[in-house]
Amino acid sequence: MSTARGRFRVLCVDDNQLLTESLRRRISGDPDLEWVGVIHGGAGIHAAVIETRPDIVLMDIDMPLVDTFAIVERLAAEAPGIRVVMFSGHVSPDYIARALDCGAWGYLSKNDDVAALIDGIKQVGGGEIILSKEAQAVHSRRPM
Amino acid sequence: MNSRDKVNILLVDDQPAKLLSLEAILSDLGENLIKANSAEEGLKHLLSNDIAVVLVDVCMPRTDGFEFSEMVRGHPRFGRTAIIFISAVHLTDADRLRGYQLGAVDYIPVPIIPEVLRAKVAVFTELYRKTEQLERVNAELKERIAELDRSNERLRFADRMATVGTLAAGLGHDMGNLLLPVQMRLDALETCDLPKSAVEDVTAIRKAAEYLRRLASSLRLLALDPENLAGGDSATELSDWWRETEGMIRNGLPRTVVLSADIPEELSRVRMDKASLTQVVFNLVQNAGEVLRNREDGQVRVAASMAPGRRAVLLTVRDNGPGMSEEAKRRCFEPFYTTKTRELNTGLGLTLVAGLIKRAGGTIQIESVPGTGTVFRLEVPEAVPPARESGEGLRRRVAVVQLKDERLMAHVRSVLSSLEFDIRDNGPAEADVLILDGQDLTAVAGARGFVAGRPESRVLVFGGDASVAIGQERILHVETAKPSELLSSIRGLLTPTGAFAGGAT
Repeated sequence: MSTARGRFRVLCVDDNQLLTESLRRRISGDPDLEWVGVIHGGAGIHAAVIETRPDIVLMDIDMPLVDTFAIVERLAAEAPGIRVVMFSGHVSPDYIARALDCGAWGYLSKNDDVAALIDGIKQVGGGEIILSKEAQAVHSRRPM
Repeated sequence: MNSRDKVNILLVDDQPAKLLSLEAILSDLGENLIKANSAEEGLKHLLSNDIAVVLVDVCMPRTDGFEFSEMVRGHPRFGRTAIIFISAVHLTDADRLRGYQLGAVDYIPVPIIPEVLRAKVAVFTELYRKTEQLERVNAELKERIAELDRSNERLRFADRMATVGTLAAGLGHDMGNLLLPVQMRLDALETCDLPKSAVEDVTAIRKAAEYLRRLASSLRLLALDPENLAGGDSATELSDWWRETEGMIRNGLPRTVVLSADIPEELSRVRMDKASLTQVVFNLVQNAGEVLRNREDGQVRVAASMAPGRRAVLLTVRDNGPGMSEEAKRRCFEPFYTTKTRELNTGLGLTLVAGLIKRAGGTIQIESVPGTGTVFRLEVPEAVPPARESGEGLRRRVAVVQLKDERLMAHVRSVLSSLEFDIRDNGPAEADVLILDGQDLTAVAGARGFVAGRPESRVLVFGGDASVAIGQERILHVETAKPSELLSSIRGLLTPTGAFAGGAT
C-alpha cells in the first residue's frame, strides 16, 4: 500500500485552494505521508487520479458540476488499490451512508482538528475504514 | 345531536289523568315524553336530563306552575328552556301576563285543542334542535379557527427554523472550511523558531480560532434537525465534566457574580456528549450572568441530582436575577427571541439549548417568578452502561475476523471496533465471535465445531451458502450488506435482544 519509503501517497481533490495549500504544507512535512498533488475539480478527476496512482485520495464532496460519489464508485471498481476517503464539512447521515456504499474508505470531517485528520489518513493507509468523531456520532445514530 | 335525534319534553301536572291526556296528544311528535306528578319531581327531571320544552300546569298543590317556572328560570342552565303554561282556571290577562313575565313562551287554556298544542310544541322542539346544532357547529368552528391559528404559528416557527438552519449550516460549514487551514498554518508557525512576541501572537490567534471553531460547531448543531437524531451513545460523567469546564463557564460571568456548584461524584453518567452539555450549561449560565451584570449580589448555582423515580439526572441552573415574564418564558426557545440588546446576544442560545436537550432525549423546564429569579431544570437520561461494565467481568469480547474482501473486512472491523470488541485476525480458539467468509468452505465447515465447544460464542458468515445457519441458533448467515447498514445489522445480531434469534439472512 505505501511507497518503498514506507509513506502513504496522498492526493487531494478539493476546490478550496486555501485549504489544499495548507494541507500540502502539513502533509509534506509529515514523515509518514507523501503529498502527490491536488485536483481542483473539472471533468478529468477520475482519469487524473488513475494516472497519479496515489494510495489515498482525500475527496471533497461538494464541488461544482461534479458527482463525487459516482467518481468514487468508479474508482473503487476500477482501481481498488486506491483508497478514497470523503473529506467534507457537511456531516449528514445521508452523505456518510452514500460514501460508505459507493466504496469510500471512510468519512473525514473538515470540522475536526488537524491531528484527527492526519491520524485518519494514516489509519486508512493502514487498511482501516475511518469515520471522523463527528461522522461516527452521526452514523451511529442511524435508526436500526 | 343530528336532525332526527329525539328531544325530551317534560310534562308536569299533579293529575295523572291530565298527564295521560297530554301524553296522548303529543305522542305523535315522536319525541321523548317525561312525566312528573309535581313541580319537585319536574325539577329533578330537569336536573338530570336535557329538556327541550316543559309543559306545566299552573295550578298544583305545594309548588304551583308559576313558582316552578321561577325556579327553573333562576337556574343558569335552563335560561333558554321553553316553558308552556297550561291552565283551566288562571285565565285572566293578569295571569297570562305573570306567566310571560316568568319566562313562559306560551300560555295555553284548557280545554286544549290537540292540533294547536302539537303545532306549538313542535315549533319549540325544532327550535331547540336547531339551536343545539348551531351551538355545536359554532364550537367546531371555534376549534377549527384555534387550530388554524396554532398551525399558522407552527408554520411561522418552522419557516424561521428552516431559514435559521440553512444559514447556520452554511455558515458553520464555511467557517470549518476556513478554520482548518488556519489551524494548520498555526501548527506550521509553531514549529518555526519564533520570537517571544510572535509566539504570543500565535497563541492569541489560536485561542480566537478555537472560539470560532466552537461557534461553528454550535451553528452546525443548531442546523441539525433534532427530530432525526435518536439520542446517541455518548456518556458524560458530570463531576469530571464540571472539573474540566468550570473555569471556562466561570469566565463567561461578570466578575461580580458568584458561581457555585453542587455536582456529586456518585451521580449516574448522562446520555449526552461533553461538548453538548458544555454548550447547554454555558448558555444558561451566561444568560444568568447577563441579567445579573449590574448587581452586586448576583448568584448563579449549577446543581445536579438523580431525578426522583426516573433513570435520569436533574441538572438545574438557578439565578437570583429579575426573573422572566410570561411572554419570555413562552418564547425564549424561539430562534432570535431575546430580551437583550443585539450587541450582547444572537438570540440563538436557548434555541440551541432546547435542541441539544431534546436530542439527548431530555426535557427542559423553566421556573421563574419576576423579582425572585429563574431556575432552568434539565432532565437528562442516564447513559446505559456498556455491556462489559454491566456484565459479570470486565473482559472485552474477542472477535476474530477472517474475510477475504479487504474493504468488507475493514468495514466489519470498524463496526466491531465501535461495538468495543477486541479484534484479531487469527486464533479462533480465543474468540467469542468468529466472522467468516461464506466462500471459504473450509472455515465454514469448522463453524459448527467452533460453536459446539463454546456456549456463549457465535459465528457470522458473510455471503456464500445460507444453509450453514439452518438449525444452528448461534451461526448466523449475513448476505453481503451495504456497508452503511453493517453497523445496524451487526449490532442487531450481537446484542442480547437480537442475538440467537435465528437466521439473519
